[in-house]
Amino acid sequence: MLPQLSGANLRQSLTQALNFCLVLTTTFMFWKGLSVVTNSPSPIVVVLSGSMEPAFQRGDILFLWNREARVKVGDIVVYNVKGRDIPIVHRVVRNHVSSKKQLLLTKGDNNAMDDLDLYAHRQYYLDREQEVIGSVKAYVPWIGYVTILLSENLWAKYMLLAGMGFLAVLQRD
Amino acid sequence: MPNPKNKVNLSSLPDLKNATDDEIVQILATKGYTQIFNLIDVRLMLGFVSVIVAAAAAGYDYYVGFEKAKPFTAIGVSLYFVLNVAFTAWIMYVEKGTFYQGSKDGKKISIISTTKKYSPLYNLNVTETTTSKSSQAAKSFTDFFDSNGYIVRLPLENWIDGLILSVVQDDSSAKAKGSKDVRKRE
Repeated sequence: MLPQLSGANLRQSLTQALNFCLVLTTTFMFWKGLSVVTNSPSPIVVVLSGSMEPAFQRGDILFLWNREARVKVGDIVVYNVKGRDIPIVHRVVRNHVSSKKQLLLTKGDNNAMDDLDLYAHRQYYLDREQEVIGSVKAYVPWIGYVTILLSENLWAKYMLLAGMGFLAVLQRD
Repeated sequence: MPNPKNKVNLSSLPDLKNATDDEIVQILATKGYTQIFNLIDVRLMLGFVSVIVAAAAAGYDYYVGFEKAKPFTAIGVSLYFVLNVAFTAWIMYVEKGTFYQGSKDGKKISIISTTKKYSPLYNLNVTETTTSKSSQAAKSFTDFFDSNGYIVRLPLENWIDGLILSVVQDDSSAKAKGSKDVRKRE
């Protein structure tokens, strides 16, 4: 009798663990699925600086699309400088295009100078294939401020994750 | 005897249902039924395989980078989606609310419990799976919970006994509530 009940208890704990895991993995898979569809490693980004004001403010959420082989001058693109992790959202002001590749010069609307100083040492242009992770197709204002708060305050991030996990375990459906 | 850990929130229908389900599992264990875990095991397997797929896709993407991992990520996402649909389909169409399956003396029973929103009724459906004989009944939760939120085993046990008896008996020597008498006499 005792081994019987512990078999049931084991499965109950496993079921609760599974429900918790599924919350995490489903969220993650949605993100990865969106990544694959848009062909962008980071299909949703948050505006971190005021360099694109008045078009975008800090905290706006941007939706990217990366399946255009060539972007147009005037498009707003998101790129990572070679070797850095922070995405920069600026407008394409100049390009050189050939059948092999497209080179871009970008500038923030609210900046006095173009991005030349931001690029890597001795880099004068961005490569559309290598550094650009997508062009902005839509945006939602302001909501991303929560992520800025979370990323600048490590404690808040862990509290949120803990809270989500706690709720998932409490609901035994 | 009442353990404060077992106190149930009387206003929460899911809590009431889960507590009653658990109590029935324990009752049947004391009565010598061997629980059959196949239904639960398939569900757990489907779920954990999908978690492993997600973890593998995540790990590979983390190590080789987005571009190189892209085809595998695409496969991983599709596989995860398929497994999750199967997981949900299993719960909705195969399990259908079955919270217990067990066997004793060659009889295998399957018990489904359901509740409806805003109704205090606990609906039980007990089926003997080899003969497909089933018995359905409903009782209000007030019949086996006291006003402090503790479950009272005896009325629940008697009710479940009656239901099981009505589906496992083939030669009726005991009267089953409301069933037609088709007695085989020797």
